[in-house]
Amino acid sequence: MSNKKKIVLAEDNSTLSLLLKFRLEKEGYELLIAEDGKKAIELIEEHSPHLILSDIMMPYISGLEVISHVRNKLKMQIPIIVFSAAGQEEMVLKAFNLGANDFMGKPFSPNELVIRVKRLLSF
Amino acid sequence: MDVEKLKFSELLLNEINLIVISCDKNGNVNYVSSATEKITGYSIDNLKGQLWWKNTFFSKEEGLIYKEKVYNIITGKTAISTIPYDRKLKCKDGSFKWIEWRDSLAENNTYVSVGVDISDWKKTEEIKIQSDTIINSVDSMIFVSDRDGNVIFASPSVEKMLGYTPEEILGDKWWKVTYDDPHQAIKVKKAISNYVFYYTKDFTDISKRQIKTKSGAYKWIEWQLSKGVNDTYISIGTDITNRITEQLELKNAKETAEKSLKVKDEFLANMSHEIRTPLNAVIGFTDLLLETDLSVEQREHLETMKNSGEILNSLISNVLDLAKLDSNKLEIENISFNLHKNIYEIVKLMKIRADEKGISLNLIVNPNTPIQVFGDPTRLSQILLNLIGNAIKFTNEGSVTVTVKKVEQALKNANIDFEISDTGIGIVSNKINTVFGAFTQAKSDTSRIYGGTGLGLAIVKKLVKLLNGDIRVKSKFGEGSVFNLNLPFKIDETVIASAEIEKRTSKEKQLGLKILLVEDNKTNQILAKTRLERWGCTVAIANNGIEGVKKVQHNSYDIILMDIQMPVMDGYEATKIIKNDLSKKTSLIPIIAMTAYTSKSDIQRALDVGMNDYIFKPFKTNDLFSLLVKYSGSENDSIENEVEIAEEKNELGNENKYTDLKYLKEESLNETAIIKLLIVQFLKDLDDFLIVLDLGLEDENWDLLHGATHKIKPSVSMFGISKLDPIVHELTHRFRHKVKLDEIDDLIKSCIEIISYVKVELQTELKSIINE
Repeated sequence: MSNKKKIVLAEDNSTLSLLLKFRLEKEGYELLIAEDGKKAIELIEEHSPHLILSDIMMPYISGLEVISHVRNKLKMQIPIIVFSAAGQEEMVLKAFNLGANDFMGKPFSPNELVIRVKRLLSF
Repeated sequence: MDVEKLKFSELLLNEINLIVISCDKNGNVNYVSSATEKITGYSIDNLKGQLWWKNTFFSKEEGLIYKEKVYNIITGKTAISTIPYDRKLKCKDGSFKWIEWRDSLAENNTYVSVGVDISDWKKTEEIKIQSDTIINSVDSMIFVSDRDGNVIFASPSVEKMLGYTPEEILGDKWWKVTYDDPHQAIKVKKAISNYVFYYTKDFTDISKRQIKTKSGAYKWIEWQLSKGVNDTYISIGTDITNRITEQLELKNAKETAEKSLKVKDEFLANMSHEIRTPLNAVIGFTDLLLETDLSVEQREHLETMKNSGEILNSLISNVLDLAKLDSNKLEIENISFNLHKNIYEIVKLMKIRADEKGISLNLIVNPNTPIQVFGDPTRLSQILLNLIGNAIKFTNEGSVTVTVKKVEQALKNANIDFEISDTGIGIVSNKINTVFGAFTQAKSDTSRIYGGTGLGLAIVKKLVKLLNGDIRVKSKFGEGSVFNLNLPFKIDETVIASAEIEKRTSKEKQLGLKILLVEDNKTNQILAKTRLERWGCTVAIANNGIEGVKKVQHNSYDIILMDIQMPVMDGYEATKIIKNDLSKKTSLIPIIAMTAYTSKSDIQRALDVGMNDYIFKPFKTNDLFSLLVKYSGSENDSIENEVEIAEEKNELGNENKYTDLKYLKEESLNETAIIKLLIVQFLKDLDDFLIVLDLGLEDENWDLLHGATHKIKPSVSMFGISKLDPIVHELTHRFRHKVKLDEIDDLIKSCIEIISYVKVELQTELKSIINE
């Protein structure tokens, strides 16, 4: 097994996830991509990642449910960053209540995301 | 009584107009003179006996009282009075005559009464009483003076008005007491006499004179002069001191107001100049920095700086414009410009502010909007910046949407509707009519919370009027406002939009010119010098007009850049000398004015003194470059032929392109493989999106549609599809909240149309990447 830190990225927009995968892998992380919440939970359970990036609004299972599952069912304390679109501020509050560590409003700069990810994973 | 005698008298009495009656001892009238018939209209028979007492008196009672009196005299009960008295006599036609009566008692106790008709005299006397009453009761003074100006009569109101009793001013005294200067008194006296008696008028104002009152104070009296009888004249004087004082006060107030207005205008002009000069440096150096190697973050910060500077600049223009609008000095241009580009630039500029507040700013341009039009792009920008700026300012959550569409067209004249709607605080209904006033904001505490000068909408209203448009506002407090701006434009069909000639960005170009920069501000010197040196120019600096002239005498230059406002000698003077007083060679050097003044008269003055062209400070790099190219003479062609760098070519094309891959390229660190991958993926996503859109609309499955627009949105931003971004945003909003869904046809149409262009562009891009 490689010693690269693993990140699960749950995002339904494929170009965005492609771009983020590219940028984060440049930084030496291993990216696992899920295009919906259901797939994300499967990947998290299977790979026990070091960090989760998740969009809030996704088909089938929302980002909020993913956080809830990770914190309450899987009892995992790994950092979670959520992405939100404009007009979803109340969702962000819910995400924080459920245990999210950080959030980024779309559209965001991949640079900033890289910095935030690095900071959360440096502990 | 002697009948013969009486007969004789009768003859006489007939000739002279006398009433004579006599009564017997019972008081019955037994004689009436025939003249009486003429005076009363009654026949003699109707006056004799009892009839006299009945017919010539106004009431039966009065007649009886008189008869009683006569009877008493005849019978010796009362003594006769010989004093004449006046009594009205009733005539046959009901009118009366004033008769002066004299009674006497003849022999035989015959009572004789003789009456003279004094009606005419009575009338004159009544009039005299009336005019006396008038003279005594009017506030105006009435004088009667003789030909030499000596006062013969003065009405009592003199005392009320001036404090003198009539006696104190009679004769020549008037001229002594009311005038300080005896010469002036003589002058006025003569002028009045000339005016009244010879109908000639000189320059002495006799209609309004200042008169000294008894207390020593002065009063302004207005005189009406007219000729009287027997070489006299009548003057009627009215006190107009209050009127004159009021007029003076008004005049003073007006002068003060005008002066302070002028001071205000000058202050504004100076202030804006003082603010613009350092701002020029801020924007200019930011520009220079932007051309250096920067990290993405640094670039973003600098661009924000530049944008803020430009906003500040426009704010200053606003304040200045209001001053100009108020004094009707603002001129409106009518030039051909790209409407789409203009709107797009404005929205791009305001986007930064919207982003800062975390609200979205959407632009929806209906495809029916003409592209190239005639109008005033600067004023349009100003109006839209104000309206959009306001909308953003007063919106704390939600969005601001700018919708542009053509509402009607007759031949080449199109009416364009610009709708700026927001989800902000709105305007209270009773304040909605005042929002367009100067220095008013809907609520007086608004400025404390939201800031601003309160000038924005006042300027907008005036500008819109100048542009022959109209503006309306609808608002619901707490829900937001909608401003509808309607402006007429003439469509320019001569320019094909795609063939638009863009001014080229010029950072790597070499001009190699020898330039003299005449500029007193050190910061501006460095800014311009650095900028010019990057274009391979050698730059000499002069700190003022005189230094500039000296430098021109001893060196040769290709172009002179000349500031207008400088100490020692300004740009106008220096230009005059260079163009007229030195050699022929120097007179040919092109001089470009650099001015912070933006009025047309300043520009005209610059051109009048011989300057070849002008550029506004803070100048845009492109503008300066093209001016230099224009005046660099034969080198023109070589510059035209220079090969442009690929990257610039891209930027050049961007105005007309739907996608902008700058962000993507930067973020993917210019790795072709990943860019290719991203484009392929996006093309696939777009196809999926179109299918879902189709399905969702057919089934009216708004949730499905919301999911689809939400999903595609980040990609739209990433690929820089600025025209699609707001449409997708608006659609997402409507699908999510299920609002205004019956009006989405246009949006969907535009959306699909843009996607088809995007796809073509991306496929071309893909091909060129593969070929590389």
